[in-house]
Amino acid sequence: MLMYAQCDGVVPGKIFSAPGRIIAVAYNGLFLPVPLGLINTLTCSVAGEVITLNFNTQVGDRIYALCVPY
Amino acid sequence: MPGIGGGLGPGFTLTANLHSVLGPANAGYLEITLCGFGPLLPSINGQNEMLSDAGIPQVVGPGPTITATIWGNDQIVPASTFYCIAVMDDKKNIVQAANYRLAGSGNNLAQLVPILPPYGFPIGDLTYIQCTGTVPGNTYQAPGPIIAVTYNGMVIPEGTSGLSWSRAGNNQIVLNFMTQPGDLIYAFVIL
Repeated sequence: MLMYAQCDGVVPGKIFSAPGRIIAVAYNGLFLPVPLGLINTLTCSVAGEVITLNFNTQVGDRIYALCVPY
Repeated sequence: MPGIGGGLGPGFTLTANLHSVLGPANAGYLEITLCGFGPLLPSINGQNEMLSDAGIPQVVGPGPTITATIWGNDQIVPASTFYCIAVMDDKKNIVQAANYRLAGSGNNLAQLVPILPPYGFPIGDLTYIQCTGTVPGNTYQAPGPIIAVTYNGMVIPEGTSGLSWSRAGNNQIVLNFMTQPGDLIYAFVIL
């Protein structure tokens, strides 16, 4: 089953976990990576169901993932 | 049961009793194929054992009573695998086939409920990946059939107005706007 689900993690923070194998990660509704001008890009790395962002989330931010539950 | 690497062995015992439509027991075979592992190499969860014949039909029998002990899908990674099981006659003509997710210790084929692929493709094949193209430009190439396209992380619709895209050629995206340096075009594709 394919699902779009909110990920668990501490805010502010960089590490989040999804409820399954991750296909794509969304930060406040935008699928990463998201470019910020010509130099900075919001990205993440994924290992299984664990997401590591290259930036710190702020209060109110939402990390969702398109994933396949185990 | 010891496995190849000294760990646990196959945990699912599949049985089938083949009969003629006229009643008596009938000779025949089962063809069992592990599917749904997509681009990943399937292995046994938690053990150093790769499944080197995954995707290759395995014929067991002849019947009329067939028993096969195989790795359950709950023992295999990735978790998306399933088995295509075909019933064949005594000449190995396929009578019918269906997909099953096998979990637990075992069951009779007649008691198993087939799974119906809800998406039309193995879900493990869905990938979010960057598309290639010239910047600035409006034509991008995806590495497989396209499900959806994103522009700088935002899903954009198929269409002809606003920020949208249309399909052209083989897995090609034509934007109705020009990208600028730094823009990223990604797509959900089937690989």
